[in-house]
Amino acid sequence: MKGFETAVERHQRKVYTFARYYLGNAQEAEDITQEALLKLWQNQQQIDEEGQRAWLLKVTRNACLDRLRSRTSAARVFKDDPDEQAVSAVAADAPGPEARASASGFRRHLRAALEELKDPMKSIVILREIEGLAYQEISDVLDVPLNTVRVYLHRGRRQLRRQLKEVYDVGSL
Amino acid sequence: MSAHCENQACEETLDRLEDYVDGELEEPWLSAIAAHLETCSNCRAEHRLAVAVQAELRALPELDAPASVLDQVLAAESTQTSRSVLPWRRASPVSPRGPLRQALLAAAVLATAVLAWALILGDRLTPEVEPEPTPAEIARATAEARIALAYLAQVSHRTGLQLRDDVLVDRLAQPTLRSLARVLPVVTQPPDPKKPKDRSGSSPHATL
Repeated sequence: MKGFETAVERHQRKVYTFARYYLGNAQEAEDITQEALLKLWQNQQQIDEEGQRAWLLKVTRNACLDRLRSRTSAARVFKDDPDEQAVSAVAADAPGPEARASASGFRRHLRAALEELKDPMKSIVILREIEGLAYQEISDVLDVPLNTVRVYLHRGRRQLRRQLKEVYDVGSL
Repeated sequence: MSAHCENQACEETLDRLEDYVDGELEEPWLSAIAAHLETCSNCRAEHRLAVAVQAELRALPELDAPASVLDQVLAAESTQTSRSVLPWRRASPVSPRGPLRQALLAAAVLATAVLAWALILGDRLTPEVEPEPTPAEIARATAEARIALAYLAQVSHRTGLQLRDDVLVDRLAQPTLRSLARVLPVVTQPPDPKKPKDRSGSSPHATL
């Protein structure tokens, strides 16, 4: 029991962060987080402590993929708040109103572009750039070779740039 | 530099831009691309955007799951732990009980389930009197109600089996034995299923 509580405390942030950025919807991310952590409880005897994080992220990603598949185009419920705290944090660092608006606009467009990325690029960009996982761990989570992780990461970032150029005045950067 | 060479340099730069931004590019490409970026405004703009995208992605905060989600996980987990020692989860066979006792049990369990739901819904009806339940309490009550309903289903099932046995005895076995008794005088009385079996085998009614 205590061990499980510790595991929940240790891994909840990675799990929730992944689901939140992947799905772009807080309620769905909460459901997925709960589901993943309960699965950890059910399978904890089979998972060693070092492998817990990769296992949880794998379960979380699969649940996110299932959730996306179950969404119909008419019932797309995401596009909720793009984490207002994050936007505020950036705005607080910006020197003036124009720069603040510009920074939050860039972030908003970037998040929208991220949500539009296809898998596995989206998973890899989130795991690497937002969650800071090593290539090897991403390779374990996705069951793909190390070099494939690098290739998809680069492809994902290029795709993000391409999408940003369509909707954002990148000359203002 | 010719246009062809310039295009080739741009292509090579863009091909390696991600590694360059990540700081993973080695010589001689590192110097070549740095030099090209000094002279090519298009590639410089692309590089600036690549740096901004990476910086912005890395600046996105990691988010904590809401406490209510974690409370629900831990509450469900503790409920599952306690379920493993509940009486109806035991592997040993359950002793037979009378239908009345089982019906009473079923009613008690149903009442528990209703009470649990009433506790949840009660706050909505009288928010100013009752304190708002915590998410953990709601999760626990929900889990307990589910367990109670599962128990109710089991009890109902067993009650059904018991009633079926009673019907078979009352409607089939006993009338058959009575008919036989009329035809065959050696059969004096049908056995009473309500009475405990005589393990000594010396029942005065076992007269066949």
